[in-house]
Order: sequence, then structure tokens, then C-alpha cells
Amino acid sequence: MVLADIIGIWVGAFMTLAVLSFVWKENKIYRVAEAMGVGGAVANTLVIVVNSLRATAIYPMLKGDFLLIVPLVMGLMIFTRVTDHYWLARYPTLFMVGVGTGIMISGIFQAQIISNIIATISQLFVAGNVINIIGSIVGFIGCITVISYFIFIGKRGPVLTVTSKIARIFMMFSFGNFWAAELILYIGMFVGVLIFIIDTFIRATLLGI
Amino acid sequence: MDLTKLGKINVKYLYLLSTILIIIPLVKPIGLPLSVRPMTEQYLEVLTSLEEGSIIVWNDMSRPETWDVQKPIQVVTMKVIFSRGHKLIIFCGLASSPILFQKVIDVVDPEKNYGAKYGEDYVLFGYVPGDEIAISSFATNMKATVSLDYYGNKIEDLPLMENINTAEDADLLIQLGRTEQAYDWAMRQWIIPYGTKYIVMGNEASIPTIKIYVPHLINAYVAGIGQAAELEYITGFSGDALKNSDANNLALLPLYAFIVLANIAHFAGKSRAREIVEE
Repeated sequence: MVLADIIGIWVGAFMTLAVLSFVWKENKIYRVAEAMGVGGAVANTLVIVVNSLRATAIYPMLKGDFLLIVPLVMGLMIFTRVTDHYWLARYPTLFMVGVGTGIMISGIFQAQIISNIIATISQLFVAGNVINIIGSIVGFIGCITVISYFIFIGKRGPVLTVTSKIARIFMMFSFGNFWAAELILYIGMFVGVLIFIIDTFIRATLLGI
Repeated sequence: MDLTKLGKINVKYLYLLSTILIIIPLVKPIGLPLSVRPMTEQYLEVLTSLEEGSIIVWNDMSRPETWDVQKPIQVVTMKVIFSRGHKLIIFCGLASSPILFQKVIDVVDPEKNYGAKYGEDYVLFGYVPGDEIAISSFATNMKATVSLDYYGNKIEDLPLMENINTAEDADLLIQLGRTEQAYDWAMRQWIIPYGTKYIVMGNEASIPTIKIYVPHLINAYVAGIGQAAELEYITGFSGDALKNSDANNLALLPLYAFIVLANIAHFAGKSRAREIVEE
């Protein structure tokens, strides 16, 4: 291992243990690690962004693509937000929002509405085992009841009252599913952290195994 | 017996118990059995069904926070791609992604292990900012979107990019999204307009969102450390996920126990409240 790797592992181990100490209670060592993490991330992002500018703007401009001065100037106009001429920052922001919205809308109907409607309905007619068929029917019922829950929001009659109760059950299951998935992700991240401490720091660096 | 006390157990005991159960299999592997999900097999099937020399575009958005979970999937996927002789073009959607992807390349070592040559068999473009706009721009005109690769080489000097410029030239899109929205971006800007085959990698939190689009837009997915371990198992490319799958499985056990205890305490409390009202 080279010296830079060893220093990196020691700093990483210190910061990992310092951040984990927050589980016990907040302390100054945790705050130091937090500040180091934020500072390091910002510095890293700055270097990457400068390199990206070089590849996407500076180099093409040197090759003769002078039109790229326009987005470069618009990017610099964002910084006027911290000056007295902060109104200049609105124009590049508006441009970005407009372009982003236009690009998004072009595909949203097909990708997220029509294709999902087709898939929800067509699943009912796909042959499969009993569990898949029951799952397709349950999914269809959930889809219809939840959509009606949000569309018919006024005073509900007897039928809509029943469907809204069914919709709430589906939504609770859905939120629980999302939460459980997040929890499993965080456990996986925690395992990764402990692997770094045990394998990389203690075994490889301290014990040399 | 007052069951409501079960809901008042200090959560720090949960952390301690989880930590101990993670450390045990790391120090002494247990070898818990592993079952392979059909979706993992489907993911591998999409990669292996491509003809040799197919062009694969990989949109990478690895983040340091979830890299421990995603790295095993990236490593195995890359090994399968190179072992099949496919060509790979990578462009990144986060500032941290090229650095992390470089570490994946270092682990896989395509030149040494698979005889792949940089510039001819694979190319790494760095951070292409713009999220959905970047994906749209890359799909429409790669050479206008990026002029230099991650190492500063001009795109004209890369043999692989000679006849490749749009999404129509790609046979497969692989994406590692940073949020669930990233998959929406690719579907809107690449899959719907060009009809390219599409497989995704992610973490457990992405699964509820990804599953909605399977199989009509997303052909297959591998998400989370569990599926990463399965992928390593069925491909034979053993790695971190398989080695540490015991730790991941055992870490969840205290969680399940605490959920059960908390629910017992909750319903015991409701039952006691009902008894008090009736009295």
C-alpha cells in the first residue's frame, strides 16, 4: 500500500467512527467529521465541475465553436445572485426551467402514463400461475381505487366510501413497502461501513493481514 | 405482564445488536443458503443474449453514500460485458461518479483480464451535467455533448466512437440511477424515442419505483446487495456481495424482532385503553 492510501484509510476510519459516535450522543468530534465531509465534498465537486467545463465548453470553443460563449455567460450570470444585480440570475434560471420542462413533457405521457395504463390492464390477460393472476387482479383493484381516491375528493357516496377505504389500505401497504426498502438500504450501507472498518482498517492496515 | 413496556426499549440496544450480528459473520463466515430470484436471472439473460461486439451505453450515477451497495453490481456487470466481448460507452450523471467508476475499472482490469483496450472496446466520459437534459443530449448527439473523455482524449481520437453518435447505435442501455427519478429521465429521453433495450441497477430503495416499469419499459433490474450476491453466484464472479451476504441477512434479524415487539406493545396499549374506557 502506498502512503497516500494509508493516510486515506486512517482519515476514512477516523471520520467513520466519528460520525458513528453520533448514535451515542452529539459531540465535537462528530461535528469536526461532519465539517470535513462537507468541505471535502464541495472541493471535490468544484474540481470535477472545472474539468467538465473544460471538456464541454472551453475545448470546443478553442476548436472554433464560439456559440458556446452564450451558455458560459448565462452560467456566470447565476453568480450575480449574490450581488446587487441579482435580477440577472432569473434569465438563465428561466431558460433552464423552460428547457427542462419542455424536454420532460415530450416523453412523460408515453413513458409514465400511457405505457403504465397499458401494462396495468394487459397484465390481467397474461397467462401465468395462480399467484401471478391473483397479483395482477389485486394490482388492478389497487390502481383503480387509489386513482378514484384522489380524483373524487368531495363528498363520497356509499360506493366511493368503500373504495376509499380499500385505497387507504393499499396506500398504507405501499408506504410501508417504500419505508422497508429504505431501511434495508440503510442496513446495507451500515454493513459496508463496518466492512471498511474491519477489513480495510483493522485487518489490512493495523494488523497487516 | 405489562406488554406496553416492550415499546419503550431503548433503540440503542437495536444498534448494538445489529452491529454484533454484522461483525460475527465478517470475522467467521457462516455460509447461509442463497436462493436466486428470477429477476436476477433475467438481468443476466439480457446481457448474455446480445451478440458479441454489441454496443452498450452505461449511464452511471454512483454516489459515495450507496457505493458499498452498488459497487458489487457494477463490478459483476462489467465482468459479464467484457467476458462476452461487448463494447462499452460510459457517461456519468454525477460529479462523483467518474471517480468511483474508475475504481470499478481498476477492480475489473479489462486490459489484463479480458484483453479489452481503452478507446477501442470501452470509453469513459466524465461527468455530463444536466440530468434529463444531459441524457437527452447524449442520446441525440454524443459528439456534440462531449468533446473530451474522462482522461482528456478528444472524442475524434477514440476508435470506438467513430461510427457511434446517437442512441440508435446502441444495443442496450444500462443505468445506475442516483434517485428514482433518474430512471424516469432515461425512459422519457432514450427508451421511448429509440426503443432500446434497458436494464437498471440500483439499491433496495429503488425497487418499488423500478418494478412499476418491468417488463414493458425496463427489461430487468438488479437492486440491492441481495441481488448483487445472487448475480455473483450465478455468474461465478465471486465478490464483496457474496462474501458479505451473511452479514446483510443477519443485520435485519434484530430489526424484525423490534418491529414485532413494537407492534405487540402498540396493540397491548390499545387493548388496555379499551379496558380502561369500559371500566
